[in-house]
Amino acid sequence: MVYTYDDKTKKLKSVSVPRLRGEDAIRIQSAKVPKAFLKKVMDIKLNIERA
Amino acid sequence: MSSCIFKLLTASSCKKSKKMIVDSFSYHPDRGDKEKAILLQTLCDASLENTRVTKITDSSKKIKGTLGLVALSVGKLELNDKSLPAVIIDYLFVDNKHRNEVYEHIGEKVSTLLLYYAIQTAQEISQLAGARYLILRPDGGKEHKSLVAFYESMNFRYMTDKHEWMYLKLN
Repeated sequence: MVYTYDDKTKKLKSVSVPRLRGEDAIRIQSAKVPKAFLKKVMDIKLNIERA
Repeated sequence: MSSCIFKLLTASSCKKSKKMIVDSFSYHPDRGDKEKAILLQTLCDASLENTRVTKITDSSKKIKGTLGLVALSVGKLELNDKSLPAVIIDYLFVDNKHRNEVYEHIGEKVSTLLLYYAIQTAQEISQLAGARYLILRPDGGKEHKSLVAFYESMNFRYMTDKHEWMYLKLN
């Protein structure tokens, strides 16, 4: 869950994942996968301790 | 490889220790109330297993304590009536003491390492169970220029011209 914070009321409000239509949706769906970047990140050795 | 170690917090440790975890960090002088409130709520969500929190520490112990954490969950991005699975960065937090610092023995900013972890985890999820996007909503929106520039340098792009949510396409 993602939250925003109202500085005046000092309360949190949850933010929904967007529902998009039209050109924005088409642009996101047809966006290219940054394969070279993802490969670079996946090749980085991180020390991850799984439970 | 940096000297940092990533460790997933269990739901029970988030439940038992959320106040202690929140109190262990230092916060931005102006945005501290906001950061504390979001962090506390995120740990409450993690205690209910609605998000998973991973902390990063320095395994060399040159820097004591937790450097930061990242909370990840899964959701659906709806694009033109298609519901596409996505990994969501619910919150990425770095202790105020360590923001924008690049320690020699670590070699990267803490935020960069946390984002690498989020991307690697999202990629693993996408390969094992299907997820098309990694998405996030930068704190402060487009006004927080350095934060947005950081995410853009990691290939995240805004979804709309409202400049709220950003995405990284995984496959």
